[in-house]
Amino acid sequence: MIKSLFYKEWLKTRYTIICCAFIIIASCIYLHLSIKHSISKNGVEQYWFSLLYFRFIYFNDLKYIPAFIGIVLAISQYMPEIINKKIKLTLHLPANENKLLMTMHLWGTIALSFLFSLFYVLFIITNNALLPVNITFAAIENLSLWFLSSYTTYYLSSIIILENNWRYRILFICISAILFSLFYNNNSLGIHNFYILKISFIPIISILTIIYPITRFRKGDI
Amino acid sequence: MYNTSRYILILFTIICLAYTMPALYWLIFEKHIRIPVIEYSSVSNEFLFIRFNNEIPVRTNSNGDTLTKNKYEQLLPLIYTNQLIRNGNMPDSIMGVHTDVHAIHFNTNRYKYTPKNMFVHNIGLYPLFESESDRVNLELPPDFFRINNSIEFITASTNDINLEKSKLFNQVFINKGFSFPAKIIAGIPTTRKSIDEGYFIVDNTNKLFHLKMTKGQPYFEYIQTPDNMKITHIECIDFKTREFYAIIFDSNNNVYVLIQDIYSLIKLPITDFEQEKDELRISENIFFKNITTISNKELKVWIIDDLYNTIAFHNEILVSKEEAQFGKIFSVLFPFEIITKNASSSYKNFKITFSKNILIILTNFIFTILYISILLHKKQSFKKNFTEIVLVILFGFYGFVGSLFFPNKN
Repeated sequence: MIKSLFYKEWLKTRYTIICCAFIIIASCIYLHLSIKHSISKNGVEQYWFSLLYFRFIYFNDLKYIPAFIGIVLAISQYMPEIINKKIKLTLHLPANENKLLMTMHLWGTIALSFLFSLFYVLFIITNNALLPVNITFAAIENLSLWFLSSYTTYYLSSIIILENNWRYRILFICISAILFSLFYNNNSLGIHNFYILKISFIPIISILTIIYPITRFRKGDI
Repeated sequence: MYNTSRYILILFTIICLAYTMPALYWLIFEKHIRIPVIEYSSVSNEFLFIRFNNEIPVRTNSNGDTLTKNKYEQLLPLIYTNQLIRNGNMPDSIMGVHTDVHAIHFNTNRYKYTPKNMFVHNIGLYPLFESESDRVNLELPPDFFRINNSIEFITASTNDINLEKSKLFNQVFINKGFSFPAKIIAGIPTTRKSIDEGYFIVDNTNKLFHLKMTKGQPYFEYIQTPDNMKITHIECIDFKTREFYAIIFDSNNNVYVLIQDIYSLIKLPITDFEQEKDELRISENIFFKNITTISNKELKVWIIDDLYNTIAFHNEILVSKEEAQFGKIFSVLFPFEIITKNASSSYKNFKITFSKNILIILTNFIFTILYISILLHKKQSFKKNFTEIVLVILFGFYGFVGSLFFPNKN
């Protein structure tokens, strides 16, 4: 059953995943060219110095790409389910309803993890070619926080899409926007690791939020 | 599972409210509490004050007599030098010393320490400037150093370790008994400073060292510190007078100055200072130094002479944000707030600050009564809504809104 469900999710999301992978590759090529351009314009010592002491995020242009990937994946996975209420078919499968929903979310989580692993590897290769390991480590802290935001946007976007009641949908949008801002309130290179650890509970527990709109939908509570 | 999902959404609502509502409250109602300005007059040898009455500055002397702006400035010729010269009121001599404008400017220096300086993310790469270059201005070196299990210089243009230079410096570190890795590396990594004095480094065994590069060669000296002194933070200073290299904080909240060239540590005569919370200001003029510590509750000023003996002391009780009218109302309305930015730290933090006002229990009680009334009105069972009632008792307004948004419809 899980294999079949994964295959169904793959069919829905394959083009999105491939497009997102291309976006990541293109972003990392762009980042490499952008660093090279800044170094040739300002001088390598001055560029390193400005990263170390002005602490500007040199990959700030990539800031919203992880969140964008999370939203796009949620749309590609869950939008087909609400068109003509096809989700009903999934809920009628001979398996536990919550287990089915968690399996769908698991697929999305695996897809995001794969895309971010690719992002990490390409980002580290791009960075290490031009910048010291210390700066790469600091950059990875920023990047990790954005990746956490992506998981959060994926889980919360899915409940916004699956929700039938517009009152709740607006409420979910407001909650998502405020929680999202917690991941984007840092404007300097590097973040204290404790912040990332403390805030990581948000994407972890938001996995379960999908059960709320679906259970209400099944009960006809709209 | 349905209820777990619902409680998570209630929790998210509580987090969102605790993050946004207090911020909105402070944005609308917070009033800036101005800290009095306290200076020591070299003319009348007394403290002079600027206190703020409804944002209007009131200047007084130590007897409480109100001073005009002109009179106040005349009593502080070492601060308002240019203004007094312009007005033709600059005295010919101060404390029996002939007035020399150049000497006044040269000897006037200010420095401010805030806990933000201590709690700052450090990437761990530092430029080591040439201290004795033949150039007028400092220039960025071609490499940056880091200290892990050895000192390594990384050439920026190639992003490779400069093995020769690293080996040269590493040998000096080992010869001087440096224990890797470094706990603190403090310097002024900018070309805008007047002169380069390198870095002060605390090793793994809490020993203090001074590192510089002179004519391409390492200058590395061990600095004797008092027994059992555990250095927690170093602030390097670039005063024109070149009296001391740095301000050093230890684990007992003592503050020292590290005297230039002779590496002697002199303890500043300040008390009740907390480096993780309080602000420290040091200003000096041709005759004395003014050391000010500002905590949430108190402002203290010590005037010390060239031998670091206290000449005068003043302390002033401050009204904190929590004690002000708008702060008291806040602590009654909101059971807690979530803050990610801290005034005393550069780190982002997810910190929950609870209200310390006992009246918050009353506010939470009112919201609980209101919630129970709504349940009664909707003819819903108390037993089924027990968790929601507990949430309202604990989280007051936040719990009330969360429970209303995501009600138990079972």
